[in-house]
This record gives sequence, structure tokens and C-alpha cells, in this order.
Amino acid sequence: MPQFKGSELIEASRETVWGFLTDPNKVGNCAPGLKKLDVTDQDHFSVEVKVGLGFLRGTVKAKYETLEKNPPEKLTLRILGSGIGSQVDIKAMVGLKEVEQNKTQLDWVADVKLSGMLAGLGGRYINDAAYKNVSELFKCTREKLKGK
Amino acid sequence: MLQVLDGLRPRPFEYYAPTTIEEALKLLEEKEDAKLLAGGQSLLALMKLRIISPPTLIDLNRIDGLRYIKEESDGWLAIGAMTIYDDVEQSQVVRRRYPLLWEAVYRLGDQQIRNRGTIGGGLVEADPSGNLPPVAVALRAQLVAMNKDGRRIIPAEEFFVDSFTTALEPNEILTEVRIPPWPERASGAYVKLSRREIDYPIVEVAVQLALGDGDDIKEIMVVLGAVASTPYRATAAEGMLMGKSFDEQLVAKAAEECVKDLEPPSDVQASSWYRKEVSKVIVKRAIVKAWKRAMEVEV
Amino acid sequence: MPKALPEIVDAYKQEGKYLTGKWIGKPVKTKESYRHIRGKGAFADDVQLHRMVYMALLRSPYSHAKILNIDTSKAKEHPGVLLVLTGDDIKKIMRRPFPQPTTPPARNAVDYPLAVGKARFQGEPVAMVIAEDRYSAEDALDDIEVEYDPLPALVDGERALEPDAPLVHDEVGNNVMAHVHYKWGDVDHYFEVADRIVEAKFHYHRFSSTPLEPNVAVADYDERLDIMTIYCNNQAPMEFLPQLAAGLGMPFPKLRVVTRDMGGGFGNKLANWPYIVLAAMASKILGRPVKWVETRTEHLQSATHGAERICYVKAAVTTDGEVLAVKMRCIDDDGAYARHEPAGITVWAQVVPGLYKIKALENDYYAVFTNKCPAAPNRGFSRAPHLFMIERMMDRIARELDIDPVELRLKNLVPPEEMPYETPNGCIYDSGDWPEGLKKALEAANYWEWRERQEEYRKQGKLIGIGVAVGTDSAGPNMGQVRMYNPRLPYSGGTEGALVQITPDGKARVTLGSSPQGVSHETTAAQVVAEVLEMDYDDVYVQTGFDSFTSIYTMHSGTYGSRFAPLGIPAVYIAAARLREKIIKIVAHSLGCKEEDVVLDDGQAYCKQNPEKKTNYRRIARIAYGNIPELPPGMEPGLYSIAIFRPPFTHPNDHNMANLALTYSFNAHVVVLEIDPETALPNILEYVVVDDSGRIINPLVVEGQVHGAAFLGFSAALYEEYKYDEDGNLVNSSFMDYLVPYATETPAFKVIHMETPSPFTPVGAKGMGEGGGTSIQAVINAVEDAVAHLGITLEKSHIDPDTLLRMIREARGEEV
Ligand SMILES: Cc1cc2nc3c(=O)[nH]c(=O)nc-3n(C[C@H](O)[C@H](O)[C@H](O)COP(=O)(O)OP(=O)(O)OC[C@H]3O[C@@H](n4cnc5c(N)ncnc54)[C@H](O)[C@@H]3O)c2cc1C
Repeated sequence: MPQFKGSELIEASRETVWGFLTDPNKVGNCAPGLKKLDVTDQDHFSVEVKVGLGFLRGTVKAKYETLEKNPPEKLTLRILGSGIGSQVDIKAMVGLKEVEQNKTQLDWVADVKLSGMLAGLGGRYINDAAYKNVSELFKCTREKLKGK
Repeated sequence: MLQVLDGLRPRPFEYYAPTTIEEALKLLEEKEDAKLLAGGQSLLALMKLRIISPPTLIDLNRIDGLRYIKEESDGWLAIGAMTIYDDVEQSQVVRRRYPLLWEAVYRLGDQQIRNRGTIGGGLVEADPSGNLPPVAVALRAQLVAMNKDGRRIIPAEEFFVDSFTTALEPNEILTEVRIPPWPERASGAYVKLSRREIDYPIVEVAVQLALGDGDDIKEIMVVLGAVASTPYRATAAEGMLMGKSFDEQLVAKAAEECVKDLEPPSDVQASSWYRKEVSKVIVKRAIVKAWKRAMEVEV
Repeated sequence: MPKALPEIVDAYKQEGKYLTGKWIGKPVKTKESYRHIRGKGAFADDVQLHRMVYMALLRSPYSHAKILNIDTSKAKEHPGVLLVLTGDDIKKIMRRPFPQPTTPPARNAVDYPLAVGKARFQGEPVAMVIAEDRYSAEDALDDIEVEYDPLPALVDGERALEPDAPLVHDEVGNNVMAHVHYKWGDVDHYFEVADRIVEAKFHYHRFSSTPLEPNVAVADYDERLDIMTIYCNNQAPMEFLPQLAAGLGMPFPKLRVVTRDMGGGFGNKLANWPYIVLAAMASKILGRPVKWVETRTEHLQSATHGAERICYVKAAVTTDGEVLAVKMRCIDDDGAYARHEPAGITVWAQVVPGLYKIKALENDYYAVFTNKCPAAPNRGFSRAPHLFMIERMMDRIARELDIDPVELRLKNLVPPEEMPYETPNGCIYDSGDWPEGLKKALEAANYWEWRERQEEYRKQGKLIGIGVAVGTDSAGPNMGQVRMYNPRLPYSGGTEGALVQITPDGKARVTLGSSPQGVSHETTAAQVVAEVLEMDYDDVYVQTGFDSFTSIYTMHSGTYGSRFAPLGIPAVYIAAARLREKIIKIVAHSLGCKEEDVVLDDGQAYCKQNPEKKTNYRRIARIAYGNIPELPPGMEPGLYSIAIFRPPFTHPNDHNMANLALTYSFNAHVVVLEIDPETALPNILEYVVVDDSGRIINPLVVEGQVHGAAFLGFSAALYEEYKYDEDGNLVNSSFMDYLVPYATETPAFKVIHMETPSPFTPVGAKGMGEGGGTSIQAVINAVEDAVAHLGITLEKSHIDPDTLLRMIREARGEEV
């Protein structure tokens, strides 16, 4: 099971980042390739996204769920996606550290479990795409919070 | 009617077969998410598996004037985007002037694929383990892109942006690959390591170099494929060899150096570790081969 | 063990009175090639029927998951869709799940052709769509919504036996599909007296033979005649006919199963009947023909795989290299369902001591369920993995005793003077000069020269390995062996049927019980008929494939277990011989001489005394079918002859002793290869096969089979492996990643023939198509030999360059 990680330095207070990540209407809009967002409740939302890499793109429906909240430090997100004849189950653990005032370091580690058609292709098309799409989510968070 | 396509069942799509490039460019502007169809050796395979399902295909095969290999008066070699691999493999000019390109094509897939796949498709696909991208970079090729407003030239080194992603805009078509003349005493080599001959490389390297007055290296490009999202230029190794005379031990050292910073991907064919280890080996072998070729020593 | 008792040998003895060598042994052009070479084969997918519709299957992306809900409403609305069924629907229609061959509690496993309640392997069908065309059927799959709850996957055979392992079948309560403990000979005694005990663990990996043609079924229910016709490429239709009859509630005479040309089978097509049942049910519901063609990915992911086997082996040996006895503990990973397995837990017993005089053997043996594709036979079914264990063990013993592996083999091989030889479990090795065969192979491969040069190459930094293995294709199985895991299975003996008819125009018509899959049964059967009836090969017409309405069958009929030469050909021979006797009577009567004076020659007949006065088959047939008063008085008209060959097989006795196969062919493989020390890529330098498959009916056919079997093993050892990740995803489910070598990788096999006829078949031919898997063990022996001096041993039957390079580096003390 591939594991990906990354970090972002965000120009915002830890509370602001926390508030963003736990608000489905905000973080939901950061889903890469977003076409449609449906918020169910505080901890659940679903999206329809067009994801992929370069010309390898397809539509995926994904459900987001906040699994664990330890405000304002730790957060676990679960993303269950299906599309392109495949299922993806991403568990993203997010840690927030205040490095200085209004500067928060976001570290993320994602376990990606893939099944179905794409899993059968030996990781060829998928690892890169998975990494990029997860990191997009947090890059977008950084961009949106710039100067807030 | 359906019989013909049995065993190849993509989702429904619209199909256009323009006969001029202008028409194709117009369709490309009009049709959202349309894909250009060249040899189909990647596109159709992915559509058949329903991994991608473009709503529209614009077939480039009926457009005249995109399939050629021309030596131009200024010494550049121009290859039309729709030139099939087999044409390149059969070309004496390519074989003589750019042996690494010849080798890369000769060692690409099998004959059926070489009868269909095109130079343009192989580059635009930007598969991190495709044979052509590192070769294009090593030869300092230029890629000619066209949209309805005109042409622009993209150096190969800037063309590959990410895995399966190029600098082409959605409304652009690649029309030509241009390879600059290299000095008199230049040569190159392409080495691919794969388990079966037909396979995409586990790792690959394209080397092009030019000699000074003796057997010293005046110019050198060492470009690896399948080790990163885009062709990886081993500048450290290049630096170690610049100006040096033929020395296999030095080549081995340069090869070691060149893989130091690599973090190649793991997949079902090979682990990151293996890719890194054998990169060393093929880089060494390719440089020696290219060097000997340039010195006109039998290899 | 001794030479077999004369009374046993007598009981098995067969004679071929009518062998002349006119047709048998000749490289006549194969009958099948004419259509195949022109691209005009008649495969199941070539069947096109009026109003035919198409089936597509939605498959589970998870290897193990509860199915919470399936919503088919949208799919049912999809244009062109006629029928959508889920597991729950199938359950209602079928009433009962597939009968299980196993004993309790494994027998409680519930197996339907569509998953009910939970999916147990990646690719298991969960719903089916029937539509007017294949596009619509596949498009509509996208519209089915399945809610899954993924469960922990079980992907390791050894783990399956641990008490806290995930359960594949909750109804079973554990993961044991079958468990047996066999002991033949006084194992304990030999382990006491042995000078040394050599131990090893081996792992036979998962792969298959990937036939060019995937599974196909066309089910055509004819309401007017109330007949269900199935065109399919199952290798042994009689094996699943009972299931189909029960599932459809139809009697055998209303069920017609037809096979035609087949693009390879290798055992992979024995267990495709769940799909056939689905197509048949759909056809009955819709009253229209239903076609289903598997895709390559479906085939790789979910058709069937050869079982994976892990064995812990101990051998009791003497210092001078006599191998006395072997103790084993094995586990077969048979995947999610018992659809042909766990037969493999017994089938290896055809070759218990390998080709050696090993006196005793014990095996504590489990077959287990896992969340992987169900296992079924694959060329060399169950015997090949066992021979792998034995042949690998021989190399290990040789190394420990510091004896050349070839010397060790020569010392232990059953010698020709002890043939027919009885093994510790009662199998009879029929004939052969095995030491001579091995020597021939060594000579042809320059074995001793390579051995001498090997050291020198090593000094130059080259890794050269020489691998030798001997093997046998035990053929014409006694099905009674399955009673060694379930004594109540009403399935025993080994038989095959044939019909030979001289039609009213004087030509021969032949039908076979087998379901040929590209192995030239039409050709070899025709050669035998032409030989026995003294007629022209071109005048013999053999029906393509199997047809339950016209073929003569038994419940064993089919093409598997290398059984055509030992069982099918004898049936053809006997049917033809009986017809010959009848024809001679007619000739004697009509030409007026004694039967013993009748001469048959090239479709003509005359009396010895008067060669000028000839008759021919056309005239004889006219008499037999139409001009009845000219037949000998009292003789039944017509020229039909049906034969079913029955070797004197018995059930295994209380000690699991019985003769389990009719013939034992021999082969020896010698491989010399080089491993690139920097990349660990292999390069085969020399490949020699000696093959002795008894009397050769057609050398072209035998040569093809030898090449095929050698290729398969070479390929499995170095290229082919099904790779699962820990979640049970098959990560190489296309030909891009499941590597089958091309001609560019395949070595030129040098093949040498020997011909020791079998005393137990009338023609003397032996089964040989599976080849015993010998090439795998030879190649792995060679790879190990190349790196053994570094202290490396190989456990698996497969090695890839990545793993090997790591081993080489580690052995050299480098960090990896
Ligand atoms: C069995 C097999 C083995 C293979 N082995 C190898 C191998 O070892 N090495 C290797 O490099 N490749 C290999 N390939 C892939 C082969 O090289 C493909 O043919 C090539 O990558 C695509 O070229 P194409 O002309 O077929 O393009 P297509 O498949 O038609 O198109 C590929 C992509 O490029 C776009 N495109 C094509 N032409 C243009 C253009 N002129 N302008 C803009 N966009 C364009 C298409 O829209 C599409 O997105 C293999 C393929 C197969 C089926």
C-alpha cells in the first residue's frame, strides 16, 4: 500500500487552518478537479471530481469523512472514491504545528488503498496521480488561506 | 459492423476525421475535451480498458503532409509528427546521424506497434517510461506546436512538464520534431533495460556527445527515463565528463554520481532500489557505447 | 520398491495387433492446421446465432468485502438492456448452490456463480447484464451501484491456517478446504537409519498458462424443442453437465454441450462452468441465445490460476547419496472456492517418489481457502509442483553431500531393469530407460564441458549456471485418486470413448470423447484409424470437438491429465480394430475365402489367393448399409463401432494405495544460463530436452508439445507470476505486467526423442502434453547453480531480476 507525504507552510494561524479543514464547505471546494460538492453534515461531504494526470483523466465520485479530530493539532480524513472501474480508499493524517505567529506548518501522510481496474495496472499510472491529487488538496488550502 | 470492433469496447464517443490541419485545429477548439488520435497505440488501449473516455476523437491520420523525415539545408532534421516509428527505424539518415534515436525506436514495443505508433504520439503521451522523451531531450530537439493562430517552438527540455503532461495547450497540435545538427564527431546511444524486449523500460538512458580534437568530450547530454515523472538530466555526470578523455573508470564514477539523487518510483516491474542500481549500469554502458561510437571504435 | 508383480503387469498389458507403421509415426500434416493457418478456425466465439444477445459481468473490485446493497434500477433502464441479475436473484433461480466436492466442514462453503452476501476474490462477479449488444451490456455495468464493506483480505496460504486469520467462508469456520495425511512405506525407519537429514522449504508460485483464447460460452435455449445447446470451450464438459442439469432442472438428453476449436486450455478451462451456468439461465429466461466472451483482464484476474504450493521437505539420505525417504508438510493455496480443487491435494500422488527409488514418503497436507482467484489445474496439475519439490531437493542434497547433482540423480533413478516399477503407493511406472535418457541430454548439452568451464567463468566475474532436471508426465489418470481426500466421491477409474464408423460412401467418421484444445486429436486419431483399417488418412474424418449428442463419452471424458494418448487413442484403436474384424468377415463372405486370408490394403480388400479380385470400402459399406442379404447370415447391418477403453484401475485402498495413472513418459532438461552480475537479467545459453513419450504417433505433434511444455516452465520460472498485494489486488492483471515472453526471449529448444513404447496401451503411446513441469525445476536449478557459490539458495519456483540482484548484493555483504 503506497504511502505519500508532504507538507505546506501556511500563512495563517493554526486555528484558522483548523477551521478551514473542518468546514466541509471550505475544504470541499479544495477538492482537485471539483465539479460538484454536496455537504451532508459537519463531518461528511461528497464530491464529483475530474482527476488524473495529463491526458489520463476520469470522473470520480468521492465521499469525505472526518474520522478523528484533535483540535487544533490532528485530524484524520478518509476519502472513499469510486470511478474508472476502481475504488480508492485514502486515509490522510494531518498534523498542524504553529511555527510562528500566523504561520502554520501542515504535515500530511496519506495511505492510499486502491482496488479494481487501476490496481491491476501495476502502479504504472496511479502512484503519481494519487500523490498529486492529494497534495493538491493541501496546496489549495495554503493558497486559499494566504494572508488570512 | 460490431464484429469489427469486438474485443475493443470503449464508451461511446464522437469521431471526426479532418483532412486538413486547419480543420483539425478548429475541431480542437470547438469540441470540449476532444482527443487527437494518432497511432492509437496508447489512446485506444486506455479507452478500451475504459480508463479514459474522451467524448470526441479527432483522427489525424487523414491529414496529408505530417508524415516525413527531411534533412534541411541548415542541417536540421525535421520529422513530421505523424511519422510512424517504423519509418524512423528504416531511415538511413536517422541511423547514421542519430543512432540513439534509431535505437530507441528499434527497441520500442514490437513491429505491430512500430507500424502504427507515431513520433508525435510517443512524445505527447509523455509517459515517464516512454522511449522517446529522453532521446528528444538528449538530442536537444525542438517541438513545433500549432494552434489556429500560428506556430510556436518548444525545446524538448521544456516540453515534458509532468507524467503524462506536456507544455502543449489543449488547443495545440504537435506538428513536427526538429533535431539540430551535431558536430562532425558526435554520436549517441540509447540503452533500455526491460525484462521482455517489447516492454516499456524499467530504466532507460539516452546519451548524446560530441568530441573535441581528440577523444575528449566537448558536449554531452545524459538523460534518463522511467526514473522520475519527466526525463531526468544527469548534469552531475555530464559535468564530470566534460573535457575528459576516454576513461571507462571515470565513466563508472560518473554513473555512480548520476544516480545519487535519484528517487525512482516502485511499481510491479521493479522496486525503486532496483531501478536505481541498474540505472548506474546502463548509464555506464550507454556512455561507453556513445563515446566509442563517436571515436569510431567498433562497439 | 520392487519391480511390479507379474499379475499386475498382465492385467494392464495391451497389444497392438494391427500396427504396421504405415501411418503411425509419420509426420503427416495435421488436419487442424489447414483451417487454423488460414484463420478459419471454428472457435466458440465464431458462433453467431439469430437474435443473439450478450452478457457482461460486474466484478468485485475488492478481494474480500460484504455486499451491503446493489442498486440495479438505473442499469435496467439503460437502452438495449434486457436483463440484470444479482447474486440474490441467482440464488432464487438456482435454489441450491453448487455442490461441493469437499468433506465437512469445508463442504458448508456456499458457492454461486454470482457472489451472494460477500465477494471473496477480486474479480468475482456480483451482477450480470444481458443486452442487445456487447457495448450496451458493458455500458450498463457503469450504472449498477454496489455498496461494499471491505473486509481484511487473506492472501497467504500459511497465514490461512492461523487461528486469527480472516475467514473466507464464515460457514466453514476455518480456512481448511481439505486436509490429508499420507504415509507410504516405513518413513520413520528410514529417518532413523539415515546418515543425514536434509531440510528445505520450497514455494511453488501462482501462474497459469494464459491460453490465447479466453473463456467463451454461448447458450441457446430452443423453446420449441426444449433443448439447451451450449457452445463453449470447457475442456471436460461431462464434468460440469451434472451441475448444469441440476441448475436448469433439465435431463441430460435435453442438454447439448458442444466444444469446437479451442485456443488452448491447459486446465485453465476446466472450471469455467459457473459462467456457462449464468449464460444458460439467462438464455432460458429470455428465450434468446446468450453469448459471453471473457476479456483478457477478466481472464487473468478471475478465470482460474494454478494453485500455489508451499512445502517443508525433509529427506533421509545416506552419505554416498542414496535418497531413502522424504517427509513433507505442504499447503496448497487454492483461492476462494473449491471449483476443481482440492483435487490437487491427491493428484501429485501419481508421482510420489519422483523418478527415483525413494522408498517411503509422508505428507501432512492442507488445502486452504484464501481471497484469491480460485485455483484449477494448470499444465502439469499438482504433479509438476511435486516434481519441483523432489527435483529441487535433489540439487540441495547433492550440494550438501558435495556430489554432482547429475551423479546423484543417476544413482537414484529407477533403472530400466526394474520396469514396470511399483512405487511406494502402488503406482506402476510402465517403461523407460531413464538413466540413458538423462545421459543423452547431458551429452547433447555438453554438460561436463560446461561444468569444467564454469569455474573459469566465475573467475572472470561471470555467473554461469547449469541446471538439470528429470521429469515424467504421469498420464491417463485414475480419477479414483480424489477419493483420497473424500472417500465418498462416486468418481473413479479412467476411461475414454470413441466412435468409428465407415459411412455408406466408404469413408471413416470418427467422434471422440475428448475436447481437443489445439493438440491435434483429429490428426492422431485419424492416423490410428487409417493404420488399423488400412485406409487413406485423407479418407478419415474426425469430428471437431466434443458434442454430447454425438460423441461417445463417460463421466471422465475430456482433455486434461495428458489423457488422450493413453486413454483416448486406445478407445479409437479398439473401436477401429473391432470394425476391422467385422469388415474382414464381410469380405471373407462376399469374396469367398477364410477370414485369415483376407488382406486389407489402402482402402481395398482381397483374398490372398486371388489378389486380382478386389473389393473396396465403398462396396463393403453399400452391403452393410443397404444390400443386407449379401451380409454374412445373422450379422447386424451397419458399420458402427463404439469402444470405451477401460484400464483395470481400482479405488485406492484403505492405505491410499492404487495405480493412479496409466503411462509415464520421461523427459530430461538441461539448461545453461548466464546471469548478468550487474542487472541479474537472465540469458539462456543452451537448452536441451530429451523426451520419451512411448510410441510417437506423429512427431510434429510431439515436438510441438515438448516445445510448449518447455516454454511454459521457462516462462513461469523467469517471467510469469500472479502478484497480489496485501489487500488481495492482483496487481498485474494485463499482459503489460503479467509477463509472457515473446520469441525474442525464448531460447531455441534442442529436442531429442527416445521411443520406449508403453506396454499398457495398444499403440504404445504415452501421454506427454503436460511435460511434468520439468523446465521450471531445470531453470530454477540453473539459476541457483549460478549463484550457489555465493551462498544463495532459492525457495521459489520463480525468480525476477530485482529479487535476484538483491540476493547477490546481500550475499556479497553489500547493503541493499
Ligand atoms: C504493447 C505495447 C508496448 C509498447 N511498448 C512501448 C515501449 O517499449 N516504449 C514506448 O515508448 N512506448 C511503448 N508503447 C506505446 C507506443 O509508443 C505508443 O504508440 C505511443 O506512446 C503513442 O503514439 P501513438 O501514435 O500511438 O499515439 P496515440 O495513442 O494515438 O496518442 C497518444 C496521446 O498523444 C496525443 N497525440 C498524438 N499525436 C498528437 C499530436 N500530433 N499532437 C498532439 N497530441 C497528440 C493523443 O491525443 C493522445 O493523448 C507500447 C504500446 C503498446 C500497445
